[in-house]
Amino acid sequence: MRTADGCKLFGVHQALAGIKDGVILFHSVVGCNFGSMAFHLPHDMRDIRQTCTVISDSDVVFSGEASLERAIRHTLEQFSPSVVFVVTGCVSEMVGDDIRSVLSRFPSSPPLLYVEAAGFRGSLLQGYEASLLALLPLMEPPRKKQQNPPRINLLGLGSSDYRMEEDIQTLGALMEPQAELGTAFSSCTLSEVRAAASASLNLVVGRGIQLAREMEKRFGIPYEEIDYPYGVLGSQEIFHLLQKHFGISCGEKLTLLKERAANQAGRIYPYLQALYGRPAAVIGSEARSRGMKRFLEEELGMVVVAMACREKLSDLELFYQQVRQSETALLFGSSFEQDLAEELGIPLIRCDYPVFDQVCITPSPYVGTDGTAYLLESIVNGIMGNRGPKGALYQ
Amino acid sequence: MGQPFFEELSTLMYPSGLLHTFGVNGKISGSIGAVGEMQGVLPIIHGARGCGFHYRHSARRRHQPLYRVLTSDLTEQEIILGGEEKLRETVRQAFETYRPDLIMIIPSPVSDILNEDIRSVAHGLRKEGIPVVSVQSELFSHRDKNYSRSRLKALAGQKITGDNRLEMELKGCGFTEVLCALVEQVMQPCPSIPQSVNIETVGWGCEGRQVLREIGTFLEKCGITVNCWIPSSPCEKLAQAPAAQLNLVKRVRWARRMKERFGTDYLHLGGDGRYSGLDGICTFYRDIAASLGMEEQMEPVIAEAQQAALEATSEARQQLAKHPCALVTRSIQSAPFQLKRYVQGYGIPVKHLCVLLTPEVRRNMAIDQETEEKLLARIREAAALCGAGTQIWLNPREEELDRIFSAVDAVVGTDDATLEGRGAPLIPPVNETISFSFESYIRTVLRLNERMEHCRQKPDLLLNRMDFSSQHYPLHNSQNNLAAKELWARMWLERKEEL
Repeated sequence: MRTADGCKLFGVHQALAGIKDGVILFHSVVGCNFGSMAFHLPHDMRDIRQTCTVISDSDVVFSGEASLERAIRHTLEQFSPSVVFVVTGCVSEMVGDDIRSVLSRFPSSPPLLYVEAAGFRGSLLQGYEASLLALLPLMEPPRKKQQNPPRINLLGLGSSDYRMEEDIQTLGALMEPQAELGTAFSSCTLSEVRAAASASLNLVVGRGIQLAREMEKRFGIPYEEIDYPYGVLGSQEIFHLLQKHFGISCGEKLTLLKERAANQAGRIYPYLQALYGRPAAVIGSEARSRGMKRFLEEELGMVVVAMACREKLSDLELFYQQVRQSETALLFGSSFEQDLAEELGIPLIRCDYPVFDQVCITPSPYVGTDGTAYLLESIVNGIMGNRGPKGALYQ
Repeated sequence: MGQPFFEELSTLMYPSGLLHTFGVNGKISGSIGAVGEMQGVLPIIHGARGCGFHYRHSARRRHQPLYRVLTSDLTEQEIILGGEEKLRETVRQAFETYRPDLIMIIPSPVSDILNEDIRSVAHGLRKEGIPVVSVQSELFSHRDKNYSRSRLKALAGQKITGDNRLEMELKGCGFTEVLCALVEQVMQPCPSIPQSVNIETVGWGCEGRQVLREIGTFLEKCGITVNCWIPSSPCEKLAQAPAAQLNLVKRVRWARRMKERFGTDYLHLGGDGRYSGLDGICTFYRDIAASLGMEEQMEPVIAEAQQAALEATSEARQQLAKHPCALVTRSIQSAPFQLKRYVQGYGIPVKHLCVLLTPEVRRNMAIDQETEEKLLARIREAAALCGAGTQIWLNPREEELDRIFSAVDAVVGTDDATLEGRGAPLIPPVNETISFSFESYIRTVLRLNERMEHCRQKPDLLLNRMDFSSQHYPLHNSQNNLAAKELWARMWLERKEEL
């Protein structure tokens, strides 16, 4: 089969690599470290906080526990991290190394968190869910019952997601001043994880539902599941939730946002007219693909003729077949779908993990007030940039 | 044909050098790299789904991911009960869906631990009419980490005027394993074609594709045909590779295997120095002539091409000779040949040769005092041979560097941007694209002359507004990067030796 997404280990990396004062130590073979790092690198090449124990033949035969112990010692020495995530892969789980016993040899160190991530045991989504849940014991009980303004946590983002930092900043700005961004999981510090229980609401962007449920049980924090908030409607949904949970009215803000989006897009209005009614295909994590579909259909008037959620797709080829049989003019997905776009001679708009063949170093989110305009820019520039030399149209 | 510098630029969009500061890729990367160079071949990784996910984008496929990589998607059930049946089913389905010319089964560390008999699986499936071969792991997870250090020690023992052949093997890289699978499971005995060669196509540098065509054309002029490009030719052509008399190879083990199996001789092109510069290009073709017993036929053609190259570059070399330069290098092992090329090959008077050897490199490459002394002796030998009066510096101090730079027209051999704006302009080594063709020599000399004419200092580089130091260049001096680098050095190089 041709897999549409990664294994458990990549989900763990997506969930934990963004904890900025933490380090990921893979107790695994070198490929797991290198592969996950290669997806992460385009986001900030100055910020590498991961390594691996380089499991080798002798570890397989005689156990890798000594290698792990040595690696932890070196990691603590080199990084002085707030937390170390010891992430196992297929091999160490097959060998059956006693990870907890090794970790217990470091009683006075910063937290060492064991996260099991054998690729044969689960999907990227399962790895993500398990990782966020593993953070729960680190959280401190809330000090105050009511926060003013209310703090809102974001769950479901991945540390190597395209334009994630920009999106988080924008979402924070969107809520202010009536509410404020609490902990944005996968892009925060350990102290922010610890303080997460002080929030008044958890917004679950597709993933992290298990942690949200536990936080509701343990700390009484309600949660809401949302699709990725692309477009004006994405922002509107967040405003609606602020109203629902805190009675915060964002009507004026929404009006301004709508006006600004229309004003920005108005500069290229014939292109929006061109997109209207045209067919598109979308593949992504469930939250992203649904959010993108909503934006394309409801706000641009396009028709999404093929759509797939990676978590539910048994074989990428099934989606490819669906797209080939459609009249798709635009494809939205990850860098890995470029071959389909090339095959069909259509542009690929990158919006889903992993994106490793484009960078974003400007404050250009895909959500919120300006995000709609940036997304439109990508779509329109993608179409125009895809025009290779064709000679005459009818030759 | 694509523009070579763009091709190189596009491969650099995969920051392989940076990634290799903090890790190495697994053997699967090499296998995917090899398969990606073949035509009509579909790889199936016998492993968990994550391997089939991320290895599409790997260090050995820097220019573009290999999008169509399949996996047998091993789950807990196969870990317990074995995965051979699932692999069979995956191969059957893949053949049904994609109808490739060949399916290549690539093992993973997981299937290796399970001791899956993928060779038998492939054999059985071939009986069903499915064209499938299996790759045999040489090492468990990754390449031999002692290779670079062992190679450096071996090089240190060589005289630069000597034969300079070095048939060292990098085991476990995954690439050679695929070529071995081709030798053992695809190639067929066939009648020999006199005066013919096969050429291994991967690892030819910036203008690689262009140079390979130029080599082919030159060989044709000498009466030699290229039978097969390995592994780039179609599968049916690869099957007939044993028809050639000689293999021109970058990697040795598969060629040895082919020699054992089919008697095809090989010429290893990996020696550091033997084929360096214009003389080296001539040596390359003379070695081919000797291997094929065609010395008399080829010598006049080689001499004529050499003379033509010298004539084509005569004026440029005369111009270059007017510009005293400093050669700066971080490669103590390559320095003698760099010096020889710049002085003898391009006619540049190198007045100073500065070798930058950091404590980290000394440690990581296990350069002891004896090895270092041997390597320096080679540099001194090269300087004496070149007769340019080159002064040799090992780790010159800052003020010495300033003095050196103020006395030359340009600095060559380095792309260390931290050296910009310090008294002399830099002509980065990207301009030196000499390879195994006479044309590549001519292009290099003309380009260097052009760059020399227009070079100027660049004190306002954006790069130099960032936190870099010459010691760690090209690595950014961020605390996390330096820590991750040190950590990796400890995890990779300082743990117990394997095998």
